Amino acid sequence: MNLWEPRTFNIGETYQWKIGPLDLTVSRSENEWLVSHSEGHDRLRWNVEEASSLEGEIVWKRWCALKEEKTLVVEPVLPDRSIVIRPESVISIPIKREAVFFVGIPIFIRLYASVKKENKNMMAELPTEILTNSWFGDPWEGELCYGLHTRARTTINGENFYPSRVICPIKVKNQSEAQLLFERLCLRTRFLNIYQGKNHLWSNLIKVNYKGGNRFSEIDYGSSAPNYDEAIQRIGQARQSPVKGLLVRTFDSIRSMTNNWT
Amino acid sequence: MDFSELFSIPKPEWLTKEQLNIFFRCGIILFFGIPFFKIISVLVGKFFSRQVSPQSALLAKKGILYGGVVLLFIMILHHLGFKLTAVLGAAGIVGVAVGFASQTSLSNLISGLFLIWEKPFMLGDVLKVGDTTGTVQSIDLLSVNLRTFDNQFVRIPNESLIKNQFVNVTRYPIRRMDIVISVAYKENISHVIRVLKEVAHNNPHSLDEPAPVIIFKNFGDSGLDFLLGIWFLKTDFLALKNSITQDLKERFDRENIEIPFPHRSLYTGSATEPFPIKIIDER
Repeated sequence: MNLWEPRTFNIGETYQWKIGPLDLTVSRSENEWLVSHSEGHDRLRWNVEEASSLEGEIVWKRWCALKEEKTLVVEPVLPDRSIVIRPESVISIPIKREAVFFVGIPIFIRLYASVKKENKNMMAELPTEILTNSWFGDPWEGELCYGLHTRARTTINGENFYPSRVICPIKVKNQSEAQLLFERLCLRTRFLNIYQGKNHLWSNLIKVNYKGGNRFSEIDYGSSAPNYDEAIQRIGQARQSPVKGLLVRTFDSIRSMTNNWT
Repeated sequence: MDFSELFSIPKPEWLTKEQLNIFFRCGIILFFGIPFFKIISVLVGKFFSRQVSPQSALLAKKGILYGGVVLLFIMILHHLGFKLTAVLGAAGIVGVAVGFASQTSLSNLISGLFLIWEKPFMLGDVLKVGDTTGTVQSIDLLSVNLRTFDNQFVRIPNESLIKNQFVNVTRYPIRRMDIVISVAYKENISHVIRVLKEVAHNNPHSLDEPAPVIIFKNFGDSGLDFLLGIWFLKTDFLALKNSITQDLKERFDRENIEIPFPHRSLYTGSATEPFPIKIIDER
């Protein structure tokens, strides 16, 4: 079942989406939309169905709407903050070598009420997983991010990714004169689109050129679909247009930070 | 121009026509001059608020307004027939006298200029000055005004801020909350550290990086003392403060970790002899 297909609701009709841990219930009354969401534990769920009866106590949030706004559009989008990715174990990239890592990033979803697909009003944006808060940078100057532990897999063959996560391919090239220790990487997800692959959701390919020294890396967030899993159709748009050749602090060493803070 | 004839106002006998005209001119200067400088100061404030810090914009705004008022005052004196050189000379002498009499005010004024130049805090920052904690509402030439969290207005002279220590609580975007926790001597230290880590990790207001700091501090009077330091976004202070203590208590209860109350052992002078008990028969 296609989760992203626009659905026209009759008055009183209710649908339930189960996207990873997110339970989302949407109902329509004459002049408003009713939305309820809660967090479960099962990360493998991926379906939408009409709900004939609702179980348990439902806490609704209400959105006023026009009578003609009968269609609900659900779109995936990447998180609203950058994500600090921490591999479960430190990865070393030798001098002048490159490697591609596949990182699963939980999606957010946007709900739009619309008359037609083009003329849509956003009602809500919800995370499918509650991520921890994290900080990238120095304690006196930095960026509030989400934190994510990852296996940073180097292949997708035979690997299982949660369906509610977008696979983000990251090509890291070590152009410095020293070995690169990949302990933490700050990913600016606002530049990434989402593409529907045959089996998974995908983001653009990110190319990181690590030049060492001052730790500033050249990053290309790309603007086209990645060459994996027949991912061609764009289903979620980047929050911000990608910037080519962006120079930002991307890698960080945990030891260098924590040593000074205790 | 003869204003009294222009507005058909009856002239009092004790006032000459020239004097009446002078009063009219002074009135017009005040009537148009004060709103003019107010408008100019607001425009300058708006312009500078985009270019420089809010307190510099506020200073520029007030400088324009006060400067304008002084200019209007001089113009009025001029129209009233005072010789400005004599007035300024007298002002110099008066200035010296007033200077001696208002040393504290001058000290506050100069301290205010230093505070604006040094920028140790901005409008909206939370300051802790002695026993007072509040949000900076305005930085004036003589004082800094704080609004406390229970909505009281506190005026702090600039001089005392220059002389004494104060804490800018919200200067940096993230902070660390240190909580000292005691557990009973029977508890396993590794187990307690693991539980503290998990409690910090599971709290939605805690940052996972910088990682929480957990230190076994010392063998206390009644238990083992630990320090749990949790980093958080400065805006999450109250939410974290309220939730983390509840989380700790609930988790310690679930894990059967005892939070000790103060213990006191009483001796009669010798550790080996039993404490004497005297039974009183009330009958």
